[in-house]
Amino acid sequence: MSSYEFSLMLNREVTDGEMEALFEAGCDDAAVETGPLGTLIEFDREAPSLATAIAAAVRDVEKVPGLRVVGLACDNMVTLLDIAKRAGVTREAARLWATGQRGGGGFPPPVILTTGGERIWDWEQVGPWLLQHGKQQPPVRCDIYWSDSADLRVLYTANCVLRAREALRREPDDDVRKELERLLEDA
Amino acid sequence: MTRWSHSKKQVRDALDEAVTAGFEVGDTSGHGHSWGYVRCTADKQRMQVWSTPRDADTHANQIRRFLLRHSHPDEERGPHEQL
Repeated sequence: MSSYEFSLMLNREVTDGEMEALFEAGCDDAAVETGPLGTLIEFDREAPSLATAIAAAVRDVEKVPGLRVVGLACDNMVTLLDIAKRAGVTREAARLWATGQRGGGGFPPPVILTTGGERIWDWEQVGPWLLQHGKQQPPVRCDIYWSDSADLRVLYTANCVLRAREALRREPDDDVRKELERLLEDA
Repeated sequence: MTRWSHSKKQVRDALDEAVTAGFEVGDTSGHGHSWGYVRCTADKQRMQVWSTPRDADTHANQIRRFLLRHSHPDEERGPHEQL
């Protein structure tokens, strides 16, 4: 058995009573973050596989009436500051890698430019560059992992499935829901 | 000499780090499975701290990851940053 780390997003903020119920439902291996910005449950779950771990965690959370898992949190989208933290360097050092002024160039380009002008990178591209260039150092304050590509695929598929379930649950038109459920079953 | 009542040293250490980093730590123990919480004063998100987590080391690291997610160095994320 290995331990798998992933985060589930919930439909809403969790009350104190629901917090107790989550513990009793088997989420004592999880960190529940809740508040005005919504709920994120971070699991470190022992299981034979990542897919088994995710499925079991979703079922545990949904034992609590009213709580629904709506998707997997994605920690791949990172800013320069996130990159700096993960690599254990200053933001300025990360900026110099990105502009090619240090590190020998070839740093992956940002994948998103927000309307506010902030640039976002894909950690799946940045992580391998750091490894190749020998930049990866133990993070100072906590362990941050990135998944291998098989794990990434599982996370991607699981996220799509969770979002599809949530969309079906929210569909008010019975005929539409049934028709689309059949489409999913065909898979 | 830590002032936290939490029974696991690893968790008490992580709670000390939270206070040092400017987070609010609340002891609500006496109410079931929750020992209390760590709250970010900037965005009001909180992480529940269990009295008896399945694994104390893991829970301590979960607290540290919460601190990292909520470190909010806003001055470094301004919209006009020049790359």
